[in-house]
Amino acid sequence: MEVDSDSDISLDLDHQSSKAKGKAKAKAAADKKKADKGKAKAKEQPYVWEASFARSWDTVQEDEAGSLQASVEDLMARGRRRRLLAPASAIRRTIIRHLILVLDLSASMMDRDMRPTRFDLMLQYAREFISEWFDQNPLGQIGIVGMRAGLGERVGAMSGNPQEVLKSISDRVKLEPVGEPSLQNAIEMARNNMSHLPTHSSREILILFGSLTTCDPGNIHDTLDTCVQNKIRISIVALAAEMKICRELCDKTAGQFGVAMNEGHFKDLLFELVPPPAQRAAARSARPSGTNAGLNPAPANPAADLMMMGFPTRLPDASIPSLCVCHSELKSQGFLCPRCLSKVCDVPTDCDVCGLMIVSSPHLARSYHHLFPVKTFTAIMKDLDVAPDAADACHGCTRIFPERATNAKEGMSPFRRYRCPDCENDFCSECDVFIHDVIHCCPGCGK
Amino acid sequence: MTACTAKASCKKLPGLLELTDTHLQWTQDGKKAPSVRIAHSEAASLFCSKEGAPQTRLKIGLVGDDNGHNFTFSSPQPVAVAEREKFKKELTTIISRNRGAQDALPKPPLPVAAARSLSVTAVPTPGTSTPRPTATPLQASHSRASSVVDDRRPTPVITGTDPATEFRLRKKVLMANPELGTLHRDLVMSGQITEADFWDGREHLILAQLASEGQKKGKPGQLVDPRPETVEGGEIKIRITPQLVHDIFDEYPIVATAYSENVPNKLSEEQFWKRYFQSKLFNAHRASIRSSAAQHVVKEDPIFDKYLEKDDDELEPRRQRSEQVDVFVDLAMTFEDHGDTGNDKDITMQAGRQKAALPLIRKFNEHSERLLNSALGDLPPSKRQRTDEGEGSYTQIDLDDLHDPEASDGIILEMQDRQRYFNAVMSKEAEAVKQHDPAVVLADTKSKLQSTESKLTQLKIERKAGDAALIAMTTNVANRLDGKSRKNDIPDGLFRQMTTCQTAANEFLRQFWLAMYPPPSELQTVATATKAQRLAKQAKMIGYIAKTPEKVHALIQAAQQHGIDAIRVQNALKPILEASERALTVYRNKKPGQ
Repeated sequence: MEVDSDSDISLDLDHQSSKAKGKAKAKAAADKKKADKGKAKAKEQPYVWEASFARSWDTVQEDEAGSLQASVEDLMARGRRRRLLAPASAIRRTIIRHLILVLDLSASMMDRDMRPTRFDLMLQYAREFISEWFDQNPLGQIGIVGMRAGLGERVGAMSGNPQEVLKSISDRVKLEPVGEPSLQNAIEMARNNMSHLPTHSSREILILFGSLTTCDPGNIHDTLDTCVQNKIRISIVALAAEMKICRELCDKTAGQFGVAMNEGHFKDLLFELVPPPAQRAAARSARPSGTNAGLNPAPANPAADLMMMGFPTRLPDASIPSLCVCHSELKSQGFLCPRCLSKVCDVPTDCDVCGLMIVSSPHLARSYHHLFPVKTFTAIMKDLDVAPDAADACHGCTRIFPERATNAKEGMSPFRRYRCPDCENDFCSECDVFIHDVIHCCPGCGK
Repeated sequence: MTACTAKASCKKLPGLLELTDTHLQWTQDGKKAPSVRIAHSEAASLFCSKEGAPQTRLKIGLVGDDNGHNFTFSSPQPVAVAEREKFKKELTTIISRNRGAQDALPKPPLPVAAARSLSVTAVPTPGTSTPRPTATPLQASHSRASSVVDDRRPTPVITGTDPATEFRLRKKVLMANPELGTLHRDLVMSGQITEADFWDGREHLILAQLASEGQKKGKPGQLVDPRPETVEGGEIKIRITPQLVHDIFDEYPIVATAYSENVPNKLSEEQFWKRYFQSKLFNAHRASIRSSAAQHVVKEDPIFDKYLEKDDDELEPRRQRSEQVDVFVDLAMTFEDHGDTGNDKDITMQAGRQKAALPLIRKFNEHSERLLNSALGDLPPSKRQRTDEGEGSYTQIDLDDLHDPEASDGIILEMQDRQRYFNAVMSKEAEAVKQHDPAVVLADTKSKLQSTESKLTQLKIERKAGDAALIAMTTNVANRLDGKSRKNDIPDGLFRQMTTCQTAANEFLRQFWLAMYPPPSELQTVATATKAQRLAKQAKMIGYIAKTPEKVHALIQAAQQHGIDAIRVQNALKPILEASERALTVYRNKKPGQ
């Protein structure tokens, strides 16, 4: 509240001073212009809190007839074009993921350029991200590290249980930002948390970085080199601006880097990191081939190893309570490890006793759609492509397709038909989006 | 270097007692080599004779040997006492240091092992940067030499630091996880499992602890700029903390010089700072050029004005840079480019056009340099430049942003017979669908439905099946309710015994499975136990595991004595019994050579 009223006062002063300046004798032109700008700004946004509502309708615009159809289509077309960028064929992805989420808890997170503050927004999105991440990567584990007062702080230990992870960042007061961040300390801390992990899983660090400085005890390039050696992928979502070191951290470790422009973009950038990362052939950051191709003949498709997993026996809720391995508590429900018959509370997990990875088949299935994505549907552009015997309704929702071509945006079909390349069924645009974004499986192909 | 010496007798033989940097040693008179030599880290306790006793004695106890050595100071009484006090003081600090290290293990279960690992530290641990530098060469050779019978490996020094730190770290980990601490007390201190085995597979806990402790704060990048706060009465107050003093001395060496020359001879500490903050010197050090506001406060000061330097606003900075400026950032490099072509000289980026800004710019530059130096440490200047191989002039002007973003599709996922996974189910379904002709199916269904109404009225459901289902469900719900309502009727003491028994059994099982299937990642990085050791460990653990049913049985009997439903206790411990059974079966069916 205090800060709010402060900014009001300052704006008010600005206003008055510009008036005063106007009455006074001519000042330097630049000065005046600046003052005018301040005035205009003050008019546009009399209160700080109003700004967050200002943008919501800017993006949607009515056409002449007052319909929102055009805007909606525009949005869909944009989504379609983005999906076209995704690789069509199945590629190797790391399904078993280990992620350390590094939260910036430095003083710069109290900045209000994102509402309500960078810190609160980050916490909110981090929670949503964690839920979504576990939903899409049920075999993954997340740990949380905070950057505060020049040190890295372990906020939550590596865990495969979303509730546990969410609980570790549920207390806002405990995470109150203070001091300066240290990228190096935080990365070292995250690296140490992951050093014992097996190599078949991915090791990732995701940093939500709001500061423009980092206060490191040593040479951060050394840290970067060790991360490259340990095959740790670093991705950063910056809230302020691009920093050279951040870009370098991401580029060299084959991670992603992005600077959030506004609240929505921040979320987009964050959620882009939810799907499992693709395994790249022979580290992209390596120098152009030819110079060291002879030295390091990395095969284009390195052989894959099998790993052992177990499907546990689930004990029903009504069974007689017994002690579990993980908490030593009397509990009815639980799962029995198929190898050593120990009782654990939750799957997926690594068995506390014999170390076997215990999963249930839905977990595997839920991870698999990343490996076998639905092929992008082709938009029907020409009259000829609509076969005479083609169904006149969407294969998904049986909505009737228009008979004649309508005008459409680039990348959209004038016939509103989108065809699956495998089963050659036509779908409407809504079903197209639904199939690719939600069910990850084409109803026409039946797989 | 010898810290202190004294004439002292040991076992009634006269000699010389010496305390050096590393050892306490005693040499018999007339001999050259010391006959008693105690490393500092071995000293565990110290006893002295009473003040005023006829003989001045000092007894030192060793780690794992409480008898230790007795020394009698043989100099005349007052001298001997003074000498002993000196030794006492030195040794007390050494012992307290050792104690601090040993508190990690209030009672080291394996003094021999501890001593061994102590000797190991003398060997420089190579490759501390590798993720798990568990075994030093010496240890490795030792573990290879050890036979099947002796599977007690010396406690590995996981972190690559000295054992003292290692013990401290372990202690912290155990304190932070009370459950682990209890387990440690139950198993390791009772000697059932060795310290090394206990931490086997738990190294990451220690590494994580080390990581969080080993963090150092970086030097903050802010300029030292003490902010005066105004207190009532118009006075200005600056709070001086030791940190601030340190920062000021670090930032402005001239103040440090002034301090050392004037305090405390000419000025008291308080006066010094008071006058400094009012002096021109302080004003020159402020991180702003707009210091005119404070101008009236500034007084002439004969002492501090001596140290005033001229403003650093000449064309050339006062402190010349020694190293060569990179051609790509040297503005002067383009200076000559313009004359020949007739272009104007590029003066847009000329430094020092605004003279007042120059000292500030240079101050910032110096500050940045100091900051970078503190981060880089004491590297020689030649190593500071990052010389990536093949980085020539070309790569420097090759901007990343001008490159097309490289689209790499990743490794294609190749699954053998991928179609097969879907076909099996698909084809059956497809056949089933094909067999039906929609028209026939429709007609068929219609005809079937016609008589439904009359049939419905005649419908009678067999009671038996429904009843059975209902009863099954009711018992199910009752069971669940039962389980929920009677959760806590086992007395605390017994329950604790149960959990203790269970966690201990679990630890044995964990050790067993770890020995059976060592995690694959360890194979490359750590010189883990050899095959023989693993076999020995398996056998040992199986021995413990086989005893689990006995223990459980004892617990059940205890429950009966307490008057509690013994079946509940039995049920609660059932998974652990089954797990033990499984381990025993696996062990029995194991191929001999495995």
